[in-house]
Amino acid sequence: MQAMSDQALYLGEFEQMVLLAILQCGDAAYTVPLRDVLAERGGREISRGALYTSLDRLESKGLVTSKLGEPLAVRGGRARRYFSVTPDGLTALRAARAALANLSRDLESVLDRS
Amino acid sequence: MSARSSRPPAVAERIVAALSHGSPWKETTLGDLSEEHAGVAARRGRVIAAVWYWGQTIAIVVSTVAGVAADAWRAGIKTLRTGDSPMRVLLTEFRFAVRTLVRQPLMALAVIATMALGLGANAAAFSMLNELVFRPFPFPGVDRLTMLSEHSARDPFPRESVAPANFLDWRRQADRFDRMVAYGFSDMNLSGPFEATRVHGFQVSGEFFDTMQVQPASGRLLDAGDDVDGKGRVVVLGDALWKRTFGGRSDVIGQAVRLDDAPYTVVGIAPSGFEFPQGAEFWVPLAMDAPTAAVRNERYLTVIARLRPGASLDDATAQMGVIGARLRQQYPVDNRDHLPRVQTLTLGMIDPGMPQILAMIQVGAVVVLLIGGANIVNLLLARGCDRQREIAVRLAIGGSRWQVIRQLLVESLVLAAVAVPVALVLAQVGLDALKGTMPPQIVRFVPGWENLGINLAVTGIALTGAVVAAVMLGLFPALQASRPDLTSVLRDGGRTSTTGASRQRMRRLVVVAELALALPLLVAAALAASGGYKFASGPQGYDPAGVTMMQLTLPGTFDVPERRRLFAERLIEESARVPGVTAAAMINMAPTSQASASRAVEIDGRPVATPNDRPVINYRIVSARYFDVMSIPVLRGREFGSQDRADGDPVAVVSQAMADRFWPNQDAVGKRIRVGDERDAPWLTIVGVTGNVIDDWFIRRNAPTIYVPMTQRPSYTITVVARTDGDAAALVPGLRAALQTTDPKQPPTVLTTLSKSLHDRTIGLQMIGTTMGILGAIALVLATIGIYSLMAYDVSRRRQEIGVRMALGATRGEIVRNTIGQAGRLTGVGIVIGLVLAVAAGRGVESALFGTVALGVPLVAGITAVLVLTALVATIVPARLASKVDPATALQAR
Repeated sequence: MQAMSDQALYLGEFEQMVLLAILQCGDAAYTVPLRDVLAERGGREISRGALYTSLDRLESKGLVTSKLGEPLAVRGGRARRYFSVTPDGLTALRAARAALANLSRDLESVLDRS
Repeated sequence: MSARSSRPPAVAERIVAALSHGSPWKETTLGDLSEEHAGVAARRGRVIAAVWYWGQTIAIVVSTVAGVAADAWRAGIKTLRTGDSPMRVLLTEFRFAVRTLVRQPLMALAVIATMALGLGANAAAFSMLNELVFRPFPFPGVDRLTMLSEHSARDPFPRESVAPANFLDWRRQADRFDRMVAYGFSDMNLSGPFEATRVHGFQVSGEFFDTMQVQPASGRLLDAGDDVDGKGRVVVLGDALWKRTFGGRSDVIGQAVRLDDAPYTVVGIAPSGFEFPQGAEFWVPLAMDAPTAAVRNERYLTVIARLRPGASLDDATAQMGVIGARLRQQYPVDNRDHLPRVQTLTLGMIDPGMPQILAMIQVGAVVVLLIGGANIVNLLLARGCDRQREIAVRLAIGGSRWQVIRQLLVESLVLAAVAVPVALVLAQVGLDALKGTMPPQIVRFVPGWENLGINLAVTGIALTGAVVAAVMLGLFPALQASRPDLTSVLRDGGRTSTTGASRQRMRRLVVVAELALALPLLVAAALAASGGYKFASGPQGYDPAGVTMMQLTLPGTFDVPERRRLFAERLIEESARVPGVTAAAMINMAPTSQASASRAVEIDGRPVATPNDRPVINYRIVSARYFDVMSIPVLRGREFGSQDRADGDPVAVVSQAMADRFWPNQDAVGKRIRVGDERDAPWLTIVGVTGNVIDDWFIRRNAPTIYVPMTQRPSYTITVVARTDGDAAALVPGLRAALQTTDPKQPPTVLTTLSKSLHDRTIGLQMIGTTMGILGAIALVLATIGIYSLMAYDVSRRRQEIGVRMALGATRGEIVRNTIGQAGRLTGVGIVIGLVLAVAAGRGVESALFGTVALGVPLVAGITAVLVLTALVATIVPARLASKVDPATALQAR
């Protein structure tokens, strides 16, 4: 059990970005604005397929959940799939952030140099 | 910008849908693309948005292909490591095949393009067959629905409508059906607090919707209690009419509307997409009063029944046969020639000629694929020659023949796999173009038309076709190439002419076959295309240019003939006043309108034994100046004029065909005929004979016709024809205004130029002609490429031989003649075989097009000449190349 949660806590960089993007989007976290946020704030143009795969993986790890909205004419009668970060997802994000912070400590002189 | 106007490109969307088929992200992908497309369209316009969408589609295609390839590669590595033998072998072959093909991109492209053309033509043709013939109706349990008709041994058409009394007797006596219902055509004028319009509707039995197993979208549909005579008038609206006229408001249920000026209550709305039969916009109950229910000699109902569970079509047919025989005994006069016939609904509803025509197109497409296949075989054979050395090496170091064959087969399968998606896109584009050309008033009568396009079935057929083609195409050259004479090939570097002899023979055979197939296809295509042209632009017996027609049908309230006469006279007067009109007249049913009227007639001095033996003749009611407006020549006597008053002597004008049939070698003018069923009907004196008219290319060409003056027999259906010296289309608003002035409550059913109507009426034939023409053109191009590539390759292989000949004194002219002579012999053999097939194909097209076209010697000769000339041109370039061979260089190469 412990091993499993340890594994679940490990987050790749891209996964962290996706989780953060979901948080940024709040209630409107579906695929279209997620890609926009990742591009605008994260500075990364990512392919549709990469985002979908990542969301799939995060959902199977239990770090995000999704639910379908209403069918919309603008989507040709298809529904949006809204994502939210689960408590496990938040824990994982915090852990990753703490790890980064720990590792960065005392390196300001190197990292802050432009 | 509305969501509707910024719909993503349909073809691209289909491609994405197909690629993401089975993926849980399919809906999201399509939804995201659609949403983003709408955004791009709003910001940068529709064109940019479409381009953007296509870009995204291509990116998805590329990444999918890359993903599949990467998976295959990884799987290959894995199986190599684990030693999973058949899979490993295949993957190795696959990788090798891809490398080989990439090394020869032009060859690969030529094969893929040819295959895609052939497969695309077949996919499109199959889509038409499948949607229009095999499954045009999407109803639940459609295979349990049957159509019951009457058929007469004397009638050329396989089915006829049903008389009300026969329908009622069938329904009472047959127990092999759960439900049996009837319907009849009932277009009416819909009026209310909006502009009056003509709407397409049907009178249907109460259980009609139960039989079709349709549920209402709102309100209720009709039920068994509704078709009782004397019950209140109710109507069910179709989804389209409801949205168009009532804006989709739900409070319309319970409201009153007026149909042909009678009040009806709207009780329900049919579900969206249900427009059976024939694009119906509304349904009213078919309530039969006692006299109607007893009618047995007028056949106008269509009967549909659902088979009882457990009963088969054969059971039902057998029982209906017994019932029909009994009714014939009971009613020997009315049912003398008629017996019931049971067919599946699908078979019963489609046009009698449709399966043959579509089968003809499908055969044409298969021939194109065969010709394309011949080209591919040629290419692969040629490549087999070039690769002899490689193959010989493989065999020499211990490769088995099977391994070599397998390798070549995998190569052609890879090519086919790439060709299929291209073929599907081509087919979709072709079908979209076809759908765009069909006018809605025709599409209404073609069930399944809306569904034309690429779907799972079509994709399956294309894939199957590709695999079969790849195996057959690959096998020939593979068998050939895997049998080289090792020593000579290795020694001579594959250049010797002797080892290639049988392969060359094979290649020549292929070219002969190609020509033998191309000729019949070209003849069939030219025949169909010339037919299409003739129908729309050839002589019709009248001059459609400069004529505008406006048709309307007066409601039953015009039951006094005098009212109809006054209405028609007033309308003609108003129409003649429209600026630009030089003359106006009327007829009940104009040429090119889809309706006809006919009457049994009695010829003076030729009594018949029973009323049923009287000949049935086309019957037209026309006003004065009709023949003048239509430019139909009056050959003898006179046309109708002001002297033919309502109370004047009853008169008639007959067509040339009528005069020839009943009074051959005599003057028909002055003879007398009687029209209609009444014994005391007046004798009409013939006052004129006019030229023949083609009313309808399929069924009423130069039919014997009798014309009577409108003043003496005013009709309910009126078609005003107005001639102008200028643009006929410019008369449309004026004529509409003339009708408004005459009676604002009467909407026109048809208001268009006669040329347009003729075009629309013959569009089916033109479509067939165009489709066959395209297939013919593809076949011609492919055959030309085939001959060219054979000869060019032949020349390149014979460089040494030609060099030797020239060194020995042969002139350039001799070399050219020799090369052309060779091609000529091949062409000759191919053409002779092709001519035999062409006559057979021509006969097939004649019968598929109901004999509207005839195969003639000039046509066959012309097409043969075209093919021979094309073959000659395709040979000249290689022949000239041959003559430019420099003997010294050619010999040194050795």
